[in-house]
Amino acid sequence: MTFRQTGGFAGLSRGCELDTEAMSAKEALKLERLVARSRLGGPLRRGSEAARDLTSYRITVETAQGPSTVEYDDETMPEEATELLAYLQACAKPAPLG
Amino acid sequence: MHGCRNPIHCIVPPYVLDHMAQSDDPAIRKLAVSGIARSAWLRASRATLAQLPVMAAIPSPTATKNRLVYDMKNKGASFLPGKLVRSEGQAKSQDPAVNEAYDYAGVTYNFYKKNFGRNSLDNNGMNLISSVHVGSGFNNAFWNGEQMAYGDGDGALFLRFTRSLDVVGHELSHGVVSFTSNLEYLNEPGALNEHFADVFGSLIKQWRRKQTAKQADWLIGPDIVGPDATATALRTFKDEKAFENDPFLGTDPQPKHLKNKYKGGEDSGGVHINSGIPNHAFFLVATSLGGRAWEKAGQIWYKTLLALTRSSDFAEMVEVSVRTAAGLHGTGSQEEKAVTQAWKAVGF
Repeated sequence: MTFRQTGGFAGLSRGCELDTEAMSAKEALKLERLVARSRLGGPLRRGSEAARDLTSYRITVETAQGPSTVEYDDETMPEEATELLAYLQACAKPAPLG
Repeated sequence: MHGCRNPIHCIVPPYVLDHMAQSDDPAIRKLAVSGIARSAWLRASRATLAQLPVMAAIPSPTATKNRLVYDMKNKGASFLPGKLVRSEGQAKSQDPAVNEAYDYAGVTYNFYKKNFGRNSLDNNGMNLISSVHVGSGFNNAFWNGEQMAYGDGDGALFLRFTRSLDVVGHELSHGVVSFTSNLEYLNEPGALNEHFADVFGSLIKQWRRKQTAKQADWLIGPDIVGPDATATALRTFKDEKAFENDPFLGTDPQPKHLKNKYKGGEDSGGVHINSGIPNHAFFLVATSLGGRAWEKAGQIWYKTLLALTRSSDFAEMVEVSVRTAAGLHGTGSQEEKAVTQAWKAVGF
């Protein structure tokens, strides 16, 4: 799983990569549950075009069927994904701009 | 490398939810089954909501300053605006975030009215709506097209965003931009949008503090950086880095010269990144002219903002600002020269 956030008032670029195969079984299960609870789905969810300084979040998961990506921002991130987002942000570090 | 042990690690397409429904873990099975039903409902709801007309700017009852502050009680942005907790003229709240949003919106209104004759963001007495305590540990503040939304920060990386007059001024100034040139929030026009928000956010702070250009700190966000960050601010108008090798923020990515312009696609084409170039130009104009930056440089920039259009790029910004300086102060004036030289210094 790859997490990336950009934008926001501060214009920060942060991210992290998580490999469930490299985690403990307990940690991997915790992440799976957060993912399941988050109810994320669909390719792209952007808030109002008139909004400014929203943070954008991109989550990519490598599956057996290939990579799958979702994108949200502060307006469209589902409430159910709050915990997952907090988890991902806790592991994120400054990342160079792409 | 990033291979999943099995497909229940995956989050996205319906086929993934279907597979999760077969999981050995009963918690995951239960969530997957309810997720399948909820996804369909959410997609239908979002499609419907997207068709609703955007709420028009609501003028205040007296067409003057009218502040409304709402408390989101840590709910997410989809629940804006929240519960109304302080209206115009009401006594102070026990909540400092409420009072900061109220007071600083008032300072911002007064700045635009006193210096540019502008009656609120739309020049028609539009209500100034602020929502505080957005989300939980939310490290951001934004303008949603109709109102401001402020997070409390996580207390480590960021403090509550209402603490900073330049942040409040910045967000409200996005509203001013939207009712004037309405610069598109993408690439160079987007960087100009961010630039004007930073300029007026900084000028509002300088005006409040009665500072000259020489006395001003020319920093954005020094009051919201948390104790765990080594940075002292998020951005600077000066030709230096606001932060370097910060464990959480990294290194300030803003260029201060056209030759270093970011050309990638992130951050809507670098709107918070490339704003550093015109920001530095404005700093050079303001410090060259001296005195109080809002009186000459600020006037030139405000008139320039009114003259630009949605697709205006850096080249047009240069041309219009020089022409505006000449129009206000005369061809060959000190002011016109200061603007021309500032743009030259940053690569134009």
